[in-house]
Amino acid sequence: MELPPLKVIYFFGLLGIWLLSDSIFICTAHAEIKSITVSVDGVACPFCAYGIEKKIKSLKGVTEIKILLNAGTVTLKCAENKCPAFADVRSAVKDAGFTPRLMKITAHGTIIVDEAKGLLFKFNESDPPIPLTDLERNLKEKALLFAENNVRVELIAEVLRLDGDVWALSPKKVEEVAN
Amino acid sequence: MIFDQFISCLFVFFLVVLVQINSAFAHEPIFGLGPHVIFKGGVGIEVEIDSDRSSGNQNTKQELAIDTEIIYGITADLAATLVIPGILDMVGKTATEDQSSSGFGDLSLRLKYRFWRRDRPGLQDSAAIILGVKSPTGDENEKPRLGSGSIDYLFGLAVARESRRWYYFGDFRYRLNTEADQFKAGDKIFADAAIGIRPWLTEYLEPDWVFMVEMNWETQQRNELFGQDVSDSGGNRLFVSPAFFVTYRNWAVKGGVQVPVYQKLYGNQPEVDYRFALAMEFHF
Repeated sequence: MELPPLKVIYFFGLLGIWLLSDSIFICTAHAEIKSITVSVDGVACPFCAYGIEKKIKSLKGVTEIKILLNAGTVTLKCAENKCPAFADVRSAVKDAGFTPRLMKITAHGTIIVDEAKGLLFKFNESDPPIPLTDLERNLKEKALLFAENNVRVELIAEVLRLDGDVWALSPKKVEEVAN
Repeated sequence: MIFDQFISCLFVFFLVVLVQINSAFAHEPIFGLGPHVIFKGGVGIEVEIDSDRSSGNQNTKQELAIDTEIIYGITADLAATLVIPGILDMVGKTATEDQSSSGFGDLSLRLKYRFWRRDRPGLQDSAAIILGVKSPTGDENEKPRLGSGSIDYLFGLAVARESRRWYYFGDFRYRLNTEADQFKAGDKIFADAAIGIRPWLTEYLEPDWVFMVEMNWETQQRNELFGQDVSDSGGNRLFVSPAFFVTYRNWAVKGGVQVPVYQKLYGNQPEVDYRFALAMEFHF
């Protein structure tokens, strides 16, 4: 049997490697999250906090980390088009030997209205939208307006774990993103 | 088959679990023990210079050693530590002879399991059990001997409250010494309490200072030779030990001095003049 040309083998070989690599999955991670801030309980000393830096930095998509000991928060910035999953961030904090509490995100995306689920936040085309919950009246009106006009927004929200890997966002601020 | 594997795993677990004395993690007491463990998958290297001197009753003992500790975080609450003691100079002087030796001492392996933890903002309360084994790797033919010749075990319990400003530690340890060549060193009980303060509440990536004072109690039973108590052995000691820690990110330098404030030793024995330790620790 005659083998296909070498270029074809290379092409499909590289395609296979790419498909099996993380890169394809990274695209499906929360692509438009700019930063995640976690309140961490139990952090008393800088030397102990190194474990958090080490574990968070090992997550794919993290470009920068800022630990504020007196505030008890850890903020990580995400690379363009990739950011670790919420559950992975919580696991990293636990593996460092501490307790993750409140998680906040700053994200870019659009707000959509679903008749059954209500307001949803859509990060991008590939990720499933996340429900928006516990909105104050003014914020809800603003969000509805942005949804109606299909405006790209910056959202600052608390991340709420509903069940297992099911999450919701409780918005604290919604602003239009300047183009 | 599965049962055999289980027993093997259990054996390895307990072998790893059992270790020796006061190998410490940064921000733990230098001479006592705390419940600190390293993060999961984390590795710590500590190099410690320690020295002690005892004198009296026409006897002088002096030791200078460099101990290397390798710490590994098996889980977020379980850490294994290997202690490799390197004795630079061990001196024993009596009225009739002077002895001096150097080389590797007894290798120790320790497992620390933090079985309880309560986290609050800027505060962590925790408790851990410590189990250790010391193997007779030190040369017993050297004079003075570099190793005890026996396999000894350590069982301990440590508790701590660590806040941004204050540190409180307490621990209790029992060292079970076994017999080798008809000689058995007396079992030893340690009880320690420590309080520490961070005078400046620095942020991450800033040099961080902590000052601590420890109280270290030691009780040793009499040694046994051919099944008989050795009269000039055993007793009680209490030390007050000021210590410091300075850390920056994943680097730590720490040191302390043990000053004896009470010694009641059986028979004629040299009393401890001082002990000190200075260590550098690196986590990665």
